Amino acid sequence: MPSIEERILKITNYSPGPLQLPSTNSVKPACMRYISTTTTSVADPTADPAIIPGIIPNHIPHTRPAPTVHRIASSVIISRSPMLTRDLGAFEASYYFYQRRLNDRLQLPFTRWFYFKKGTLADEEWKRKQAAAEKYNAYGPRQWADELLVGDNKHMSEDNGYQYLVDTTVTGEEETLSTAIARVEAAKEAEAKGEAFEHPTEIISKPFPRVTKAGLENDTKSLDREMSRTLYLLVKTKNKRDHWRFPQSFLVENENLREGAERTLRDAAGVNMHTWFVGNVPIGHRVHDTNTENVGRKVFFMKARILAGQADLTDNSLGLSDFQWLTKQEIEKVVGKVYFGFVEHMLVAR
Amino acid sequence: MALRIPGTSALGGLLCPLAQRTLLPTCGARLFSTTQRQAMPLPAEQKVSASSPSKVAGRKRARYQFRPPRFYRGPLHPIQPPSSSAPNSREFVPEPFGAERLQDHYYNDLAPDLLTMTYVHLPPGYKPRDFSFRHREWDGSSEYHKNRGIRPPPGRSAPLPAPRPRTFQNVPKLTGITLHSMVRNAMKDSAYLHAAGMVLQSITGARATVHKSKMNVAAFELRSGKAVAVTSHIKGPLAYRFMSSLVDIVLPRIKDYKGVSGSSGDRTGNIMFGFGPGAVALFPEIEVNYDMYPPKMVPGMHVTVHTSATNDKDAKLLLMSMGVPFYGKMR
Repeated sequence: MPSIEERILKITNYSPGPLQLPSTNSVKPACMRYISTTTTSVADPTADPAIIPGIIPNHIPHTRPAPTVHRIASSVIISRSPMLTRDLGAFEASYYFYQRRLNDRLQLPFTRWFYFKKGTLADEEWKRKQAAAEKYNAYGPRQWADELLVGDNKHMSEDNGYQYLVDTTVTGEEETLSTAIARVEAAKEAEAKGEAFEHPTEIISKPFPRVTKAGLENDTKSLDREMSRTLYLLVKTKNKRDHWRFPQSFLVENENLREGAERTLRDAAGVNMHTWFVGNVPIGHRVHDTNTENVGRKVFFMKARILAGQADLTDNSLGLSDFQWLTKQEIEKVVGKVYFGFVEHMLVAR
Repeated sequence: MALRIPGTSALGGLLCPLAQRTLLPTCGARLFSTTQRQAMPLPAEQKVSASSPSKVAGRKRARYQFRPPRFYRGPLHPIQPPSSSAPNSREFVPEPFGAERLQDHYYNDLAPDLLTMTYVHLPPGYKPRDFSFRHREWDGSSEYHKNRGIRPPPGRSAPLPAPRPRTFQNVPKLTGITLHSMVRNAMKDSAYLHAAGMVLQSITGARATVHKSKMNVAAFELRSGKAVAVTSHIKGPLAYRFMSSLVDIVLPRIKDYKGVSGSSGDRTGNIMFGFGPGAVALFPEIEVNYDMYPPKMVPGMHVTVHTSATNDKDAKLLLMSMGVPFYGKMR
C-alpha cells in the first residue's frame, strides 16, 4: 500500500521521485507540503516506466524548465444547486407551444358529457369556468387560427400558466354560498364544544413567485437569488492585489486534498454551513510555474455543495474580506480572464 | 397526454387547414408565418359536428390535400411516406410539451456529480486491463464451428460488459423503463388484461403490448398461447417523468415501504423492483379516477429501470441520486 505522499505524487507528477525540499527553505514553514518535479524526467521520458516511449504527453511542459518543487493547495468550489426549474428561452417556449397546438388539433374534442353529468354542480362549474376561458378551439369555426401572432406572449406567462389553471380547472368542490355558511356554522359549533374541526376542502396556497426579494435587489450575498441557476461561493482576498477567488489554502501536515478542502472551507466561511463534498477526487487543477526561489504552486479544485446555512467571514484565518454567491456568467466578470479560463469548465452551464 | 399509437394518426380529412400547409417544419418558426390571412375566406355557415365533421353532407374538401399513403410499399415505390416527425405523417405524435424537470436536474446536477464520484484517475501511459480472456473461441474441432457466432462464456449466454474507465462521455444515465404486469386472472377473464393494459398506458403515456404465454405450467394454471401479460416501454422524457412521479409522489406514500432491495439488478446495470396493486393505485394518473377502473382489476407491476451503466453498482448510484431508496446489503 503506497503512502499518501506516494499516491499524491502519482496523481500530480508523472515522475515520482524522492520528496525534495528546496535548498532555500529557510523562508518556508516546515509543515508545508511540497512535491518535487525533476526536469530531467521530462527531457527523458523513457526514464519513467509509466510513460510510453516515443509519446510525450502534451500536458508536460517541455519548453521551459519547471520549478523543482510545487506547493500543493486545495481549493473549494462550493455551489448551491438550482432550486427551481430552468427558465425557458423564447424559442424553446414557442416550440413547446407549437407542439401543444398540434396536439390540440390531433386530439378528439373533449367529451363533456362523459365527465360531467348534466345538472350537477361540477357541470355548472365547468360551464362557468370553461365558457369564460379564452381558449383555442380546434373544432370551431376559427380552427385555422392556431398560430401565435407576432408579438403575442400568451405562451410565456410569468407564472407558467398557474393563474389560468386556477381559473379554468374544475375541482367539483367549489363552494356555493349555502354550503359555505353551513361550514362556517359547523366550525363555530365544533369550536364551542372544544372539538377539532376538519375543513372539507384543502386550501392550497398559491406558489411563491419565481423571482425573490433578494433577486430583485440583486443581493449577491443571499442564497435566495437566481433560483433557477447554480450559485458558487467566491471570496475576496485582503492582500495587496484584491481579487475574487474560490476559497483556497495550502495543505498542511498529512492532509489529503479532501481534508484540506474541508478545512479551507471551515477557515474561510465558518462552520455555519451544512455541506456535502462530492467525492474525493479533484475536478480540476492549475499549475503556477511563475515563482520566486524555484517553488511553484499546484492548486487542486474540490467540489462541494451547500445544503443549508450561510457563509460567515468573521475572524477567518485566511485573510478574506468579503464573499459573494455568483452564477457562472457573473464569475466571468468578477475574476480575471486567466483565472476564469482555468475554472470555466469546472462550472456547469446552468 | 398523447398516446403513442404506432401506425395510426388522426390526421385524416379532419384537419383541412393544417393539411393544406403540407410538410411543415417541426420548429417554432411558425411564429412568423407568411400565410396571408386576408386572402383566406371564412368557412360558410353550416352545422358541423365537432366529433365527426366528415359526416356532414355537402362538406367541401380542399381542392388538393396531401394524404400520406396508408401502407409502406418499400423503398423503391414512387410514393414514399413523410418522415414520422412531419405533422402530416400518419405516425406523427406531437411532443414535447415542456421541459422535463428530472431530466434537466440530471444533466445539470446529477451527471457532473456522478462523474466526480465515480472517476478514477489513471496516469498517462496507463494500459487498460485486457479483458479478451472473457471471449472464448470455438476450437475448430467440428466442421460446424465455421461461421458460428461468438462463443459465450461458461454459464452465461453473453459475456458481461468489460469495465471501462469513467469519462464524461460514459456517465451512467437513464436509457429507459419497462413496466411489466402479468395477470393470471386473464386466463379466465380477458377483462383483467384490458384493465392492466389501460393502467400501464395511463401511467406511462405509452401504448401497452400484450404478451402470450409460451408454455404450459400446470402449477400456475398457465396454458401456452394465451395472452397473460402486458408490458410498456418508455424512454427519454417520458422515462424521466415516470421516475419523478414515482420518487416524489408514489414511494413516499406506500405504507411501511422498505425500499428497493440492495441485491436487485442483472449485473449489467438494469435494476428491477415491483409494486402491489395498492401501490399502483397511488400513481396520480390512477388515483384521480380510480373509480373508472373495474373493482379489483388494478394489477401489481414490475418495473425495470434500464441504465447505461455497465454494472449494478453504478446503476444503483444513479437511482439513489434520483431519490430511490435501497435497503439491505448492496450487491
